[in-house]
Amino acid sequence: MTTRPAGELSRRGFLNTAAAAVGLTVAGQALAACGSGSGARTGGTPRRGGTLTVATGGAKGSDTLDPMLLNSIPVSYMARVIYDQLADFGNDMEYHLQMAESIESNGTGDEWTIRLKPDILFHNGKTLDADDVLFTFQRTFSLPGAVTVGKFKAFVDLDGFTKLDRRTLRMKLLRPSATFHTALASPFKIVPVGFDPRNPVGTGPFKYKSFTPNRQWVCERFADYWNADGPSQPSATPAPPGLGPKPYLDELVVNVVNDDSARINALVTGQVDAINLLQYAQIPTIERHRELKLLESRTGAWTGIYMNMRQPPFDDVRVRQALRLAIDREQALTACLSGHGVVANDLPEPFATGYPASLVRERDLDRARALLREAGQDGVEVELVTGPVSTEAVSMCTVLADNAAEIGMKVKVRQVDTATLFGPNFHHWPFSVDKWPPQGDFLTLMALTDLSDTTTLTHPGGADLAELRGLYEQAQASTDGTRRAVLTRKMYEIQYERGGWIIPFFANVENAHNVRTAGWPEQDFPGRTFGNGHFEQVYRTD
Amino acid sequence: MTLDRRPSSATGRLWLLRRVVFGMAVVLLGSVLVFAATQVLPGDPARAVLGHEATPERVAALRTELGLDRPLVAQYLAWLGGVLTGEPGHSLVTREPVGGLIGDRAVNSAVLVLVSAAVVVPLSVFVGAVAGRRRDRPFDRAVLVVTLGLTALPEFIIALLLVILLSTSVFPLLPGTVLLAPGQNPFGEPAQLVLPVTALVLGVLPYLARLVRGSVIDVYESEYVRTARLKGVPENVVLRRHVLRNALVPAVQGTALALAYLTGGVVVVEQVFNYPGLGSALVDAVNNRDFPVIQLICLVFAACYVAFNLLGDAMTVYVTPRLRTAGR
Repeated sequence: MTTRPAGELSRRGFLNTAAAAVGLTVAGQALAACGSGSGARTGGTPRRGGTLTVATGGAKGSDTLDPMLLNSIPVSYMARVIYDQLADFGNDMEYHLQMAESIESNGTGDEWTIRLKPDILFHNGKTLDADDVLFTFQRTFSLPGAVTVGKFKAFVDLDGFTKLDRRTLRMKLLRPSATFHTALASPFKIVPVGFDPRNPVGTGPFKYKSFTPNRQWVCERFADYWNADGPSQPSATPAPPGLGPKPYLDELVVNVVNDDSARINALVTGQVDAINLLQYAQIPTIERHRELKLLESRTGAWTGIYMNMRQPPFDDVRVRQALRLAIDREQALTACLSGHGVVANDLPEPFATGYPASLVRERDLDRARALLREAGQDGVEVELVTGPVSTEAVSMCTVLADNAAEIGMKVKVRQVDTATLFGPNFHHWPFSVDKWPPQGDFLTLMALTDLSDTTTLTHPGGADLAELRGLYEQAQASTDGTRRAVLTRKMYEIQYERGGWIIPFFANVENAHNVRTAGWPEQDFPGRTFGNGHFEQVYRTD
Repeated sequence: MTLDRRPSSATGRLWLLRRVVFGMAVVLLGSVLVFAATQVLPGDPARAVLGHEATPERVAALRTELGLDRPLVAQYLAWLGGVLTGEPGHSLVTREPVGGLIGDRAVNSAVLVLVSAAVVVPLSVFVGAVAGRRRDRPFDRAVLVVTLGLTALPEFIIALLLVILLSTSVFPLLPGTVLLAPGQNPFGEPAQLVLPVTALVLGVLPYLARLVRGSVIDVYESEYVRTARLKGVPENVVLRRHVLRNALVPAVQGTALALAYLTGGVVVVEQVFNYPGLGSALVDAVNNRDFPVIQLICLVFAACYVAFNLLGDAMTVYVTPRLRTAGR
């Protein structure tokens, strides 16, 4: 015998102890409720300099400083910190020129002239010129996995460049692209000739200091930042005049804290000044602490469920429409996002030109059932493969499955990890999910999804494809903005009536920071987090 | 039976050699299993590297470049050869040498495990011995209830409760998240180590303390202790000379198992506290299908298990005269 039988510890004794333990936990909770908020402090005087330490989620071991391999959220906003673009979409998704003085096309949209602003310096002291832009294009095409290649491949002819002068580059495209300037505004970071990602040099507000994948980025203020006095993004606490040129901070330290709870703990205990990718359930915690502030913005980033329009049963438009009519968008918004988002109507790019705000889809179960019956697919069974491409990707599939059951369609949700989801079977899933950041232009997005050159997965079937492609090419050949908007709207309508995407909502992006920092942009429609990575306008108040 | 007789060194050495060879065979078998397991993981590192917009041609080209299209046996042998010669290959994702990628993290994890062990082993022996000595008294009962409660809680729950209690909500005393810069010494900010170490200690303490308590009680009930007492040996001498020495055997075994358990448990605790060790590197490597990194980390874990068990067995033999002399 090693121990005495448990009878020695009487039942009453045990129950008393257990009750005491429960009581202790409850008391702890109560103490916790009292304790929070007691340390409230308000922001002090705005000041220059200092280090901003933030904790980021969403990092991976494959993260890189190469601005052409934007494969995670931190990589994507850090690229904005170190590098810059010819043109850009602001935090409100409005297009504007950035390092380019002008980007103009000829009358047919197949020849574009880019003129750079003068005296823009790289971190190594070199002045930006046309050769750097040309080099950036060449590197995009030669680097495996470069993200922008999909946008340029159909148009850019590497032999079609002419350098007109030191700051001016003319490019003859393979075919007309009236929206080429917007493709330049979606992440296309300009790097200097001979760029080496191990020693990254850009024209952004901060210089690279050190980087370890999945651990930490450290950047320091670039004193010769070209846009130091340029306009800032709208903020609830804009920097007061007299704080000098941007960036206001001396140093930026981005720590990787991928665990959601550990990240908010680091903020609550004051180890970091700001965090991103706050979970919706954590918002009340931020609200309880008076020294913490929520930074929330609606976005145009979306997670969509796609139906393979070239395979049964989704090759029948009635089945697709039935599902789109069956999903309860309000329920999805509440269940998946706790209401922190905006209902969508299966149409992406809500901020783009030509977006038809009048196309609203109401839930209609009778019509959905009738469509399914007409298609002869009553009681059909389908498998929906989903994975954590976004926090809401799995739960929205569950909502769809529940809703589909109401119209007599059996949707079996199969959950896999992202490596499996995007693994070798990626091009064979008939019914799955994908996530996209806003591109700023519906035509650009269509070229990457429904009219993609690399995959036919989300291509419409039969005549729809030809019609969509025809409209796309006409629109790309229209330098007249009004006519292009009309054609874009037609494409949106096809997408609405016959498309293969189910987009129930646009999720808000959630960040939080302490009151010792200010200047954070209010809007972040691109959804890159931390106010779209505009750290140059953030300042300390302690 | 005398306690001070030394074992025949030849027999002892032979036994140890046999155990070491056997342990190495187990690690080798482990390496085969680890390699096979990574092969059946669905997904593809080439795709994880290139992103899902990559064309099939680019994926195929990268697979060739990474050597993923070679026969499995050839891949395994090349990898094993690399590990044995100290060149465990390059990460498929970052192309950096695997050793360099996980070296710093291995040190961090080792620090966590060893500091926890250094706290938990003496503490368990003390608590267990006192509880066993004062069997059925209030201290013993308190130990039984508390350790039972702790056993019922998974480590990550203990970790989260510690964070609520000592970091974020009730008593904001300690940092709840570990922020270690790459290459930074974990002892540089000892406050950050407190909660992860406490979580691991509380995870292992119940098991080890109860084991010691049990064996102390067992020995107290043995005939030789009764004889000693009847001879009039003072109680503290009984405890020191007869009870603790004999109760040590299960404790040594238990410590070896606890160390092995800590090595595995560290994965969960690292995740909760964002501690940059091998556990979090493993999770990320699996997500990226970074085979060389997964394989090396799993192999390190397997080798630690085998080594701790071997150490436990060797020490058991050393402290058990009966086993020491069994070979004669």
